[in-house]
Amino acid sequence: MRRRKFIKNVLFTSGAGVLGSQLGCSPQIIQDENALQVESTGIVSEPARDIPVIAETDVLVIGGGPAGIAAAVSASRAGASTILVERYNHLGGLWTGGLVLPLLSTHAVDQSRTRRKVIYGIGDEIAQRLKNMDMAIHEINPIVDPEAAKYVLEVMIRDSGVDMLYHCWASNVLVENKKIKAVFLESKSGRVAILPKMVIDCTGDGDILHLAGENFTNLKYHIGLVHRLGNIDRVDETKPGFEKRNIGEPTPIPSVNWVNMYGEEDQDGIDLRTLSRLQQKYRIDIWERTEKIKSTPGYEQVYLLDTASQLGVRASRILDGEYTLTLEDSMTYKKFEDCIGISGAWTSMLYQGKKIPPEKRPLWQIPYRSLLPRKTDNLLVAGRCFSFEEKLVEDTRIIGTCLVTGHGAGAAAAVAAASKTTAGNVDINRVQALLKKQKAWLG
Amino acid sequence: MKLQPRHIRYFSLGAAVLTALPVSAGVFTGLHLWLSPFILLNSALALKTLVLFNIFGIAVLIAALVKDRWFCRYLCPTGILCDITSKLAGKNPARITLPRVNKSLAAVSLLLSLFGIPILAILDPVNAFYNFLRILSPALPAVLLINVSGLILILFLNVISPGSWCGRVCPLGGLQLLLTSARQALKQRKESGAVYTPGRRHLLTGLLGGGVGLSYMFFARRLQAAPLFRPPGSLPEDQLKSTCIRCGNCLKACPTEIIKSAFDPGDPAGILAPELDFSLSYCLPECTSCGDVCPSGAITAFTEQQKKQLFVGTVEINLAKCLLTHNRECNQCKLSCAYDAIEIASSDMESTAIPEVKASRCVGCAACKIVCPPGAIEIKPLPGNSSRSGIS
Repeated sequence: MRRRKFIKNVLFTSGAGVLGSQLGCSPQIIQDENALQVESTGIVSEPARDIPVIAETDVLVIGGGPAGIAAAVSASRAGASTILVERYNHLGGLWTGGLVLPLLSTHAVDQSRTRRKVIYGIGDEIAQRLKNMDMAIHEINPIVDPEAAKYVLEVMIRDSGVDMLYHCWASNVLVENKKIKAVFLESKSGRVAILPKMVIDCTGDGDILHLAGENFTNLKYHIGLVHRLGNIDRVDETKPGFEKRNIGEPTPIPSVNWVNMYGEEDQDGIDLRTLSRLQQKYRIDIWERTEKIKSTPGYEQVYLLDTASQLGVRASRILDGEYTLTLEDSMTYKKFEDCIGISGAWTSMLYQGKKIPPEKRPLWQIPYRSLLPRKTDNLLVAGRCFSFEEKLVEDTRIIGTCLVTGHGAGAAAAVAAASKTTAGNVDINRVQALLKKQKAWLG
Repeated sequence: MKLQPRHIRYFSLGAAVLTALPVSAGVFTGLHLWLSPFILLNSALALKTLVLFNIFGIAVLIAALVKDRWFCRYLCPTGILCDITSKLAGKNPARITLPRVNKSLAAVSLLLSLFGIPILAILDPVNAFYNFLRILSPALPAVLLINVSGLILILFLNVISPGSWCGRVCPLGGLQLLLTSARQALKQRKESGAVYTPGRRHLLTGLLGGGVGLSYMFFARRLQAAPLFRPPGSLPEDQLKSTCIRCGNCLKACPTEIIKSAFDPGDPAGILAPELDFSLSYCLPECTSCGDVCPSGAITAFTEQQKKQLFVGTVEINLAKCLLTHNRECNQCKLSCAYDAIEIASSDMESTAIPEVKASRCVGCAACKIVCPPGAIEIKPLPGNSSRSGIS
């Protein structure tokens, strides 16, 4: 009994200063080169501790945003035991908790120059459910209600048998022989460990790929904070002194608008101080901005319904994967043998000197290799941190593409776990067959 | 079979046709024009500079110095066409005899060039040939009529007076005759000490050419034309108009097809000179083609690095139209800017971010104007002088 308990415990050392001397060979915690980016006044060593293992699983998905949900549902439905870890109290990530309500890039132009729907599979299933509930508006790039989406996602996760863990944060990994042996979670129950066969990094910020020692670039981009306004239907345009104010865009609920914020540019989405400063600034800005709107004749009834519970980090760590998807690929109908999904376009792009508006932009295939890290055998990356060139960021960081990459990674992880192979050696034909069975569209 | 001059001439004609086709061949676009020593000397005298491809013209110049009318014998594509039309006109005796002005024309042209107005370089026969083949352009603007008329006029001249273009008018031929004369004069001077004296005919053409040059300076240049966008590296406005030989090389070489022939009747001196049209595309930051292929030097050759200092216009953003002021998500202008000239800055307006242009970096390439989803960006020509170079 003692012995079994010992095996079930994994030695965990987190003191950055003593790592090198104590752990020269595997198993090892990868040196965290960027951990000390934050301004520090000194260093303190944390003693080594034994961490209880709370589960072993085929597939461990970190992050319950659009990518994580698609991944977890796909893997679990394929028969893999699946755990989904989420740090907040809801599913949907920035789509719901971030109040970034549009499901962008659902459509694009095919080779016969017809604009068509491109996102199918689990992402489309979610969209259809919301549409049937009258909780999505617009056929192309629908805007959804966040609470309805949270509900739908919750039901899908429950019904597909995923073991859901809320309120915990993946804080480290243990890599042994190029494999992530354990993922450590910080929770109200203390630090716990999960032993996975396959790990899917759906953190958006690439937390896991970073902890596993993969190479990445940190893309600094705009960070904003979305909010919603209520009583929009009570705006009185006939009132004397009325002048048009910016009150955002409609949502499925007639009295509610969502107001996007682009926010400051070149912000570091993985810097503690940046996130804290912006959070504070934006919260105050939004309240004061709304007060100004309310003081305009005709807008007296409008009120601040809510600010997003998640700060809108649009991009941060981007994986340096086996294949880096390019803007050129997305503009030239590039075909990939290992295609795991197709995404569309929502904004104009410059290509070869010409402006290509969204209604003329080609659909683009996503290869499995762009989800595949170079070093770790049992890790896949989905969501806005998969491997693409910076020029493509407008199309890769959005909800639609996250749903597609998530679905692809989930199916691949399930196949890899079942066939006891690495992510790199997985039989792509089987993955594609599973994706098609799960109604994904691969062209 | 012995290789004869005409074989080389036919080969040259083929090469001229190929390089004159209205398609881009990179830096080799319009290569044949660089062979003309007439264009070479005019632009070299006007600009007092040489570029790498001038080496072709210099080689021909040396050949023509050694061998009489070497260019006409071996390389001139227009010459072949003239011979053919002369033969077709055939036995009809010449109805008109044109005065022999070729040498004077060449001399006057070079003299004008020396004073910075190489406007007669436009009479180069290879240039006329090139302009004619622009009839094969996919787009056929009305101004193309002027382009093609040069060669038609030359050939017409040969019908009414066979052989007269090549023998009496062509300034490129005249230039080569001057070279021959110079060689002979040198030789004679060694032998007899005789001095070459210009005749009355030369004086007349000289006066005529001088008159053209002066009237160009006093009248055509004086007209104030609306400012246009000129290709990066263009000479200052007046110089551009007089130096450009309207060969069309830059139009063909431009990968985004934004270079057009200007046509403003209010600006006769600038007719058919290159202007930029930003309605459909923009000036690619990595492209140096128009400067590379310009045989007259009207567009100074420039490097990608130098291009960052070659200003063609200024950007104006209409914030009322900008998506950011409507809380919509967009940074296409910033993404498209290869010169880091656009920042999305925080503002105290109702929106939290608006684009700002750094004028010192913005060259006016128009990438942002083209991509801007709501069309909120305008490019304005530079005031007064419509091209400005930061290269010292």
